[in-house]
Amino acid sequence: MSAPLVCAALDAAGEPRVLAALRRRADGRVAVLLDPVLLTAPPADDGAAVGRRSVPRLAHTGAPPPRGWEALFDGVAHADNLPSRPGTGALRPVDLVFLGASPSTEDLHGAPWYAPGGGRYAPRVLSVRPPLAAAWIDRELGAAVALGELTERERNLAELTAETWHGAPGPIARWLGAPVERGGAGLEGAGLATAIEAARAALQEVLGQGRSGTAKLGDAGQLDGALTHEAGGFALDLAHRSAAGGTQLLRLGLARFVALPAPTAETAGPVLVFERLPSGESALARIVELSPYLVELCAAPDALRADADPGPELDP
Amino acid sequence: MTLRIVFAHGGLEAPARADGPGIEARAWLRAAVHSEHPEREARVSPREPPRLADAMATWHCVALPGELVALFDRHPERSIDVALPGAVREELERRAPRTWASLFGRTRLLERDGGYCLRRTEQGLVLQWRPAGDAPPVEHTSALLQLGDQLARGALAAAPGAGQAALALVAKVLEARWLARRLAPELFFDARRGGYRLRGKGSAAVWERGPDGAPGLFVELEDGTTAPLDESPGAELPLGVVRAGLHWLLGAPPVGQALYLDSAGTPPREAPHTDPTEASSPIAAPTRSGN
Repeated sequence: MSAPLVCAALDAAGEPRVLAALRRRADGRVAVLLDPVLLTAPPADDGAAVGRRSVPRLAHTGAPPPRGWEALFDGVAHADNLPSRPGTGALRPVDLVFLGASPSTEDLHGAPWYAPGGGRYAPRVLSVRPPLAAAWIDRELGAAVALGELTERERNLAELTAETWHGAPGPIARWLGAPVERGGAGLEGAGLATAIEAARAALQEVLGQGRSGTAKLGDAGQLDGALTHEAGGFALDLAHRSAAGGTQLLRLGLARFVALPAPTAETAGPVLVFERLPSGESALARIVELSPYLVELCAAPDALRADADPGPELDP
Repeated sequence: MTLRIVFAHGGLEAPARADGPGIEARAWLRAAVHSEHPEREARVSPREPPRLADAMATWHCVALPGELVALFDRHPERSIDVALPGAVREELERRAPRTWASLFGRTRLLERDGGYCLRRTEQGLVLQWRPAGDAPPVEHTSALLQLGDQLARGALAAAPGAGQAALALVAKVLEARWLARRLAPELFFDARRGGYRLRGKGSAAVWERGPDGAPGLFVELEDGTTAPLDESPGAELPLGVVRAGLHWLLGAPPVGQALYLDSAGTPPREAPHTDPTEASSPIAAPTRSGN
């Protein structure tokens, strides 16, 4: 259990984004490093804990968020212990956990990845199959990323959450900007930007408190939102009334949820975990911080599945 | 009969404010009387005339030099040996000069316990093994510790053009590789080439292999020049001594200061009441417990 463990997800371009680096200790405990710049304060020096597993939270250096393979192996290096005598390292194992898709062998093993203090890294790829349908809302990218099989209602709720609280370009923005002849509100330019901001504020009321909301858009008219029960979950009805009197409607089917609290903690991003009900509906089971969620997954052997590519053979 | 006085490692204390300017540093010390008859050997309290039967006390805090001089005066018939660890000797010379003069003038001085001594001088770092007893010191070399001394001076011999960012980078890399065994958050590790940079601070880098692929540590300065850094610890030096010495040097101690280390790399220090020999035998001879 001494090999470092880094959790990552591939973005649309196939580049990894580091979600967390974990330093595993001999006693089985882990220190979670939300990303490589959040790490290396000795655990004993910082009593703050992430989640219920008492995972030490580490210091922040203010470096930009890590993306790409260099950033990933920088995270590995920070989660690793260097050899007791520099220059004596050989092949050093490292576990990479990818949420969702896994990288290609060429990406990972095409070039040697040197390790600090000597030697090279021998990456082993594990992939995570979430126990429940889950969507991760990336605070940096402002987008919802599916980690498991999501229904349309679940995906709608995840995207709406990302749009409402994290500024993602989601379904409301797309609808407000789409031409009228294609069912959109037909807004453009500054009017569109103002309308999106106002719509987000209104949606925070609608989703957070489960009631109707209205947003005045000035010259661009007015936006009304309402949440209703329907078979399979909820329906979000939005109506845009233009200054000229025209009305455009949008209906989004959403998975069931209990009023979504506005996330406040500065973490790597919340994960929406959905569960399937016997009735066939799906419901938002919980919103968790990404870091405890990953630690939970990585601490549960059943949650990790060895990939077909175990990486190069390690030195005995 | 010989009165033997053993000073505790690192046992000097600053004088209390109430003591006034005439009182020098206080010291933990242990006194023992060595007779020709081992069964009569015992410790004596330096505060009182020695009564061999009941002198069971071990360590005392003695105000210098008064009580020590009084002790000498009370036992004019005895020859007095004083055993001093190198670090205490150093401190005594500096902080209690009158006591030092008393010791030097009236006693036979023994330096107990061999140890390593690192001293920063104007000319550079002096690294010595000081054997127990009167044997002369043995000079040692360590490229890594010289590197630490250069960092404390703010200039690398191999790369005179290194700026503050490059020096800070080299210090962080040495700390990660030799001391912490972890990378500090401000270090970025380039796994493609095997090297380190400081996040957001200049373009200097430290590589773990040279331009031709040869292993070793190389610093690349902002202007693109590359210079090798010799970080060999020194063949005959215990790694613990090298690590402790590097830790001390990276803290940039002033020129003239010295660090004393035992072979395990720990500063010699005996806690007054945790001497392991105390528990088993209340009259253990300091010559045995000290060596």
